Amino acid sequence: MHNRPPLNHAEFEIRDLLEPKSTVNRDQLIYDCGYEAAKSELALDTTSLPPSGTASKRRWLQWLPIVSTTAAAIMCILFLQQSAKLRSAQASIENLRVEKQSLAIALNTAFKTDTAETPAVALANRTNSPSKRVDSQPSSNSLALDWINQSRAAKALEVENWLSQRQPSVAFHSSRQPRQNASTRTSVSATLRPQQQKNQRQLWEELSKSMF
Amino acid sequence: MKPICPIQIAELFDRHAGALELYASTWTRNAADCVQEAFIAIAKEPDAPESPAAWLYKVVRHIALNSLRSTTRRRRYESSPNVHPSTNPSDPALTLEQLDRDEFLKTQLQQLPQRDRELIVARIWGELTWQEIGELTESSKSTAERKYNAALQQFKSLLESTCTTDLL
Repeated sequence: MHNRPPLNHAEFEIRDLLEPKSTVNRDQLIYDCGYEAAKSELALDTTSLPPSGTASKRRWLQWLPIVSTTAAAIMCILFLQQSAKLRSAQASIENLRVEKQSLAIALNTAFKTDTAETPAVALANRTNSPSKRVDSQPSSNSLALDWINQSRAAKALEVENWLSQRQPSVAFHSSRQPRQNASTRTSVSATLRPQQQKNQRQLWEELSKSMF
Repeated sequence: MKPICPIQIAELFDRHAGALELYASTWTRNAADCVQEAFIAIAKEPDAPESPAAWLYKVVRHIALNSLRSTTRRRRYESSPNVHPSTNPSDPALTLEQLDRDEFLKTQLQQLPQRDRELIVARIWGELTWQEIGELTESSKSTAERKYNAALQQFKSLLESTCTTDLL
């Protein structure tokens, strides 16, 4: 590393006068970074299966605590949908079961936050073409509404059923929504409050331990 | 070498995203998109760069210049200096009080030649080393430092001539 020459007084004065702010949506950006990293690490594309190595999963998982709960849940869904392919490739059913539980936890956490989109709607909107976008009102999505209204255990069951109904071929085949300008991009979820962040971190620490 | 850690990306974003956007605005109006692309690029790098901040500046510059080229190709008239008319301080209808301080500073920066602007942002808000700035601007570190000092002097004069007492 190079030594950084300290700013002199005049430079400090100028710097203090202007605090440049980014208009990029941080949550969206970090989600996109995680998505891209996960995609390249796990080879998440339409033609290949993700590697089943623990190290890859661990790397993928480490993104989750720093994105919003909804984004984390979406990533979980994407990952699990990909895992459905693993199942078809006769991967361990036991592993899949554990991963589904982790998705249920993620979804439960996500629903506790004040988000505009449910994970299902957000996922649909991320993967559908703009003309097929799903209304983000929960009332228009009975599945999402059911999830919200049911108990944690029931929700987990719903999620499991929902996942099992999904065709593996649907899993990761739809391309992502065309990229919007950062300035017009909408957030996947609201910013987390500190307590939520803490809870989420704890959740994922526990989750990581349980998975590996 | 390992890929960059996600926490590090979050920290880099908090520390540099605003300055990077200011830096990209030297060349393009799509500054936020350039920053977005640069961060995604660093996330995809199999090996974390030795100096992530300098790496981001380099990539943002590259993307912004490409954006400028494509914009210029599409609409040549947009290649002129992109001072926003509503914040042009030479407009007598506008006074300093009407302008947000950040906007004012940004506008003043826009008055500088492109290369000077780039040097000032990279040094003051990016806190890059002379070596890194030299690599960024394809010059030696001593040349970068010398040009920067001249640019800073010009910038200070510009600010002083506009509002001597309020700012410096």
